[in-house]
Amino acid sequence: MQLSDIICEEAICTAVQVKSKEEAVRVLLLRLVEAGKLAAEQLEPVLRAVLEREALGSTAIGRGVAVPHARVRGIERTVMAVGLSDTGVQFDALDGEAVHALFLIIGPDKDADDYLAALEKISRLIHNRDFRRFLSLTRTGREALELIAEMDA
Amino acid sequence: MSGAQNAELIIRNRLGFHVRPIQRFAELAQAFRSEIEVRIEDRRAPGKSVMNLMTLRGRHGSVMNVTTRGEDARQALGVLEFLVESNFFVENDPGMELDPCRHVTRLAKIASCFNSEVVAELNGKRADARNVEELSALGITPTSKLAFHVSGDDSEQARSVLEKLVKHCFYVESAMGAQAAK
Repeated sequence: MQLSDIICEEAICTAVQVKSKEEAVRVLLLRLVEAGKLAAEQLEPVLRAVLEREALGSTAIGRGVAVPHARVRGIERTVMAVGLSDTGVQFDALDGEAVHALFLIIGPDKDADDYLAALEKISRLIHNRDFRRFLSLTRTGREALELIAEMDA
Repeated sequence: MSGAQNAELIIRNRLGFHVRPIQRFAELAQAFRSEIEVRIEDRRAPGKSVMNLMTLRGRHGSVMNVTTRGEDARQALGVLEFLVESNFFVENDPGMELDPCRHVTRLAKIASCFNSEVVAELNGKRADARNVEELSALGITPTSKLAFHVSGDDSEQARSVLEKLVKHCFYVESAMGAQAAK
């Protein structure tokens, strides 16, 4: 599995303007709905599932990156949205820092393989300082997706 | 300085070594001075780093090899072994039976990993934190804000681990979510 296979290009938001966790996740879920990857009526339940998961501990994993996620019944295959923010989103990170890159993963209830593989790949990418710098410079979904595809090879 | 300690553990929770288990593992590992390494198959990662642990891709059924090296290696391994064997305190696997007193048994089990004497205090009443019966008599709930009186050669580590436990509502997930929703 490659990250570029599951990331929805239309759901890469390179200029997230909102400051709160809930708003940021909502922005990304709306993009997934607009791209036809998520049914409109699933938006609220999925948002709720993501926030319930966050209540068990922030998914901010350091270096300004968060991996909010939920596994939801009725989702056929794992899909990812990406949000980038210059100003930062408050994500209750353990280190207290704002988050500048969000990788939102929505997957089927039953299958954990794609989810674990996606987490592994994201953590490998964000280890790489060049990747983090280049990602912050991308201005369109296409640019971000190309960068991810190239460095995830 | 004691030598290296090692345990082979099996990841039993349904979704494997994902974010929540990894965060809990790293957070508790950070309370210790010892060097901690985790190996799954041929992949290795330092046990105090969330991001490094995420590269291990531990699945349900994977064997996880944990090595601790340093002055508090035994205590570190004891706490981490208990965490792994308790499914990382993840509580939403289907069919899982949840003991209503798990916060008390978790506290007692973790307190007993240390050499230090640990006394838990709630509303002016005190109990030996290693003793489940005494603890139960305090009327602790998962959201109780216990104070600890710790004395011994590993008191700093014991205090750090126990304070994390209390901060996270003893990792009782229904209580964690409820507290965050307030």
